[in-house]
Order: sequence, then structure tokens, then C-alpha cells
Amino acid sequence: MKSNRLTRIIRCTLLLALMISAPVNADVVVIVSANCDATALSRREIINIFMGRYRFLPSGHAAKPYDLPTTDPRKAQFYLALTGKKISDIDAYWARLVLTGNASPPDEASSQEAMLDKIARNPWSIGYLDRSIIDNRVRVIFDPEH
Amino acid sequence: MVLDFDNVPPFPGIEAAGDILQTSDASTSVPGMKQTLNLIGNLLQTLCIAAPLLVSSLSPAWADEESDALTLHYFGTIGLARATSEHIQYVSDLSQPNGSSAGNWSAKPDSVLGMQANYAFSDQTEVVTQIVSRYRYNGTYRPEVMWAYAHFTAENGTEFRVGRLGTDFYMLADSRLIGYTNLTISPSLDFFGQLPLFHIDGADLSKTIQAGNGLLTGKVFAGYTGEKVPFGDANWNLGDSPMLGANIDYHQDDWSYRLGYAQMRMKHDWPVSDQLTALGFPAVIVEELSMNNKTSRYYSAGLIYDHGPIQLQWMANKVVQESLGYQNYYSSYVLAGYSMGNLTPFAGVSRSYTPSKQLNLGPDNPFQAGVDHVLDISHTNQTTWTMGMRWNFRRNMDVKAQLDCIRGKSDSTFLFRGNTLGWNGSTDVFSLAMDFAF
Repeated sequence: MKSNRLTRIIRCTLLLALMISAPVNADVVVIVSANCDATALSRREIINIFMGRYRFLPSGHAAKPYDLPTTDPRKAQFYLALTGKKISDIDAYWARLVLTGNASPPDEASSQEAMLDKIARNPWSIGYLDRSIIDNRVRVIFDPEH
Repeated sequence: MVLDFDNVPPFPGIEAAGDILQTSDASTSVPGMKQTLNLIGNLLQTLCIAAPLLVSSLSPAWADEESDALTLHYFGTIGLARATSEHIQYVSDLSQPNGSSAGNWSAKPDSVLGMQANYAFSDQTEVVTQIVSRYRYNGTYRPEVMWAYAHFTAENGTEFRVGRLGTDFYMLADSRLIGYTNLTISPSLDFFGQLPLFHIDGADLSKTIQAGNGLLTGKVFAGYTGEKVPFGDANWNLGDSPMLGANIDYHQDDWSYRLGYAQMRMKHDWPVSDQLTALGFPAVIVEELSMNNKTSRYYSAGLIYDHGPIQLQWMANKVVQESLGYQNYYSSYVLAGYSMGNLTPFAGVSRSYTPSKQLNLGPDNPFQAGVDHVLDISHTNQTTWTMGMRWNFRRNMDVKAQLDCIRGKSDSTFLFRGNTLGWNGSTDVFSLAMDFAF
């Protein structure tokens, strides 16, 4: 009896560890508000916005990018698909820019749901999240995997 | 502006910073713009130092919730370097009085600890201060306010900064102390070693526009230097010297290019002039060799390719000295790295060279030997082969090992300290370091 319980605990622990450590293969897409006047953004323009190089939409309005939390594996997946860089390289990139005062990283949304709300509220904001949770308040403007 | 950190132990916390920051009136002899900049700088420093103490919500992360107006960042390098030659002291740049020699391990060349506080009043306005402790000209690790400025961003993207700013006239020059952002343990000695300037008190203005398929950024800056370098048993005050310059950067996809120019007019003479005068050198010769009110001009070009696992850097510079006593300087380096998982092996080569200036006093002139000796002080002629490995062993931290094989002529002494008879121009430097940035 005791042995069965122990086995169950070990199995649950292993399963949990697997869930935490397993690479996410979500369908991460870039979204803007449904009210955003931009109809399309190129990979180059999205890199410029998220990497702090040039944060303007084609209309000339300043873009407001948002990141998912560092602990969310979708963030690493997004930057790898967008730039080909590992998250450690992205960290080093931002370390250089922040510690030289040249640019600031995107503000952080605390979750995918918070990201969705922020993007929906601001027509000049831009973010990324799993395609499965988007609703009609936002629209997909770029798929970094393609 | 001179910031005095007397009686401060190495690596103090931010709690001590407000108490230890003092300003002196060493620059009151420079009128007009300098005094105004001093005043602005003092106000900004007070504000920047006070802000972290007044606000309690701290977030040591790169990306922050919108509500966090204050962010704190920490960075540092714990480094050990071992130079094989017993005839020179290996240093990371000319701001350091000594380092590693004769096979002894030294933490002096590469070890750095820094802290930065950013306080954003809005998306358009921010104040930033950074305090850094490293081995300095006076043989201490006394912390220094590296940057303290206000940053304004206009709606059209024009950026304006005023206060104490990082020297940005070489590509990557303003991030060279942040080891975690560098591929190597310390940036190329041949290229960056001759540049002991880390900040100016002044202002810069930059603007980025779309040009073709890329981004074109122009920046102009002006201000006053504020640093000293060791010079034999004395120090050479490079401070209070007016500096101005401009950069043009072009960025397209994985490629970044830069052309830069800066000039500095020396406010203070180097110690050599007093020594020559004491030795009875004629005033006309002393004046030819002096650095007082002489202009140094820095020309540079750089290229960075950064795609996926591949990193490639190339830079070249030329420093033209108006003084006959200081050699013109040419250097260049190329560095490549390739990431394989958490490991990034890297290799590069650099070269520094000064085509010797001549000051011919005529046959049998008794002062010729002394003049030649002065001209030798700033002479370099060497090549450095670099190889190493970076291991990102956990997020925001890395460990690096690096070997630099320096091969030069026996008169190539400029980039080292304390050279003695027997120096043949060659030494190997083995370095280990752990970097972090949060």
C-alpha cells in the first residue's frame, strides 16, 4: 500500500517535471488590435519593433510592443522563430542596450490573457501569443514560423 | 566634474552611494558651458542616486511590468588573467597602473562590478545612473559614477540625453565593461586598450530613420572628459578636455555598420613636459612634445554580422595626434564566434601599429636621445591571436576561458605597464572569467 502511494508520487513528480521541462511547440503568432490601421508587417519591421531598433508602425505612429514573461517558454520560442537567436543571446542583446542606455526592452505582460487585454485596448500595441487563445478583439498580423 | 569617492571600500552597495557621492570644484576654472553642464550633472546625479532610495518596488529584470517605474540592474565580471612575460604588466586598458606579470594570476585587469538604476517618468523620459567598481588609475577599486543622465525621447523618435554619458565613439565602446555582453572576456587590447575614456559630461542627440531596407542612425555628442590615467609614478589628468564627435550607423537585417569621428582637445599637459623642463630641455622642444591644448582625432569604422549562431565583428581605427610627442595610432581586429548549444567557441586576430613620428634635432644634438625616448613611450607594433570559449551555464551568466598570444616587436610597449629591459614584444595571456548581468 505504502509502496503504491510512493510509486504514484514518483510518477506524478516525473510527469510534472516532464511538463515543465518539455519544449513548448505552441503556434505563436504576432497580434495587433483589431482597430490597428496596419494591414501587414514584414519580419524586418517586427524585428525592428521588438528589438528596439525602430518602434514605428507603417503609418508613422509609435508602436508599443509587449513581451510575455521570461518564465513563459513561448517567449523563447517567439524570439527563436523571429530572429534565429536563443533566449540567452536575446538577454545579452538587451543587457548591452539597457546597460548602455540605448533602448529598453518591451514592457512585460504578466500572462497570455494580460497580453490579449493590453493589445485589445491599444490600437498601437503589438504582442505575441498562442493562436488558440486569440479572439475578435485582435488579429494576427504575422506568423514568425512561416 | 570630478567625483570623489575617497574612503569608500570596494564594491559598496547602493545604500552607501548617496552618502559617498561628492563633487569637487576642480573644474571651476572652465567657464560658461562647462559650469552649466556641471550644475546639470550635479542635479541629475542627486536625482539619480536618490531615486532608488525613495522608491521601494525593485525589479532586477530586463523586461518589466508597465507599473515598475524603477528598475535595478547588476552586472559584473570576476576575472583572472595570467601573463607569461616577466617584463611587462598586462592590463586591460591604459587606465590601469598594473596587472598580471611573470605568470602570476591577477584579478585586476578584468574584474568589474556595476549597478545601474533606471527611473522612467514616462515612455518619453527616463533618468539613469550607473556606478562601477574596477581597478583604476590610482590602484584602487573605488567606485565611479560611470553614467548619470536624463534621457528624453520625442514623439518622432529623436532622442536627447544630457548628463554623464558613456563614450560611444567606437562601436561597442560603451558596453566594453559589461562582460556578459561581450563574446570575449575583455575587448581587444589592440583596439580598445589605448582608449582609457569611459564617459563624458555633456549631451548627445540621435535620430533613426528608415533608409532603403535598413535603418540609418545619426548621433552627435559633445562634452568634457573626466578621467585620469596612470603615468609612471604620476597621473595624467585627461579630464576637463572638450570633446565632440558624431557617428553614423546603418543597420540592415543581420548587418550593422558604423563610421565614427571624435576629437578631444587636451586641457591638461602630460607629466613628460615637467620632466623634460626639469632636465633642462629647451622650451621650444618641450612645447613640440607637449600635449597641452593639442587635439587628438579619432576616426573609426566597424562592422558586425549577427545571424543565428554566427557572430562576426570587424573594426578599425586611426588616432591622429596633433602633438609631436605622441604617436599616431592604427589598429584593427576581427573576431568570430559560433554558438553550439550553450557553448560558443571564438577566435580572432588584432593588430596595433604606430608609424613612428620623428623629431630630428640635427646631428650631435644632446637632446636627441631624450626626444627619441619620449617618442618611444606611445609606440606599439604588435599582433594578437585570440581564441577561447564562452559557456552560458545559466541564464544571464557565463563562464569564459581565453588565450591571447601577443606577438610584437621589442619596442612595442605602449599598451602595457612597467616594461623592463628584456621585453621581446611577446607574451601569452590566459584568462578565466565569470560574467553576470541581471
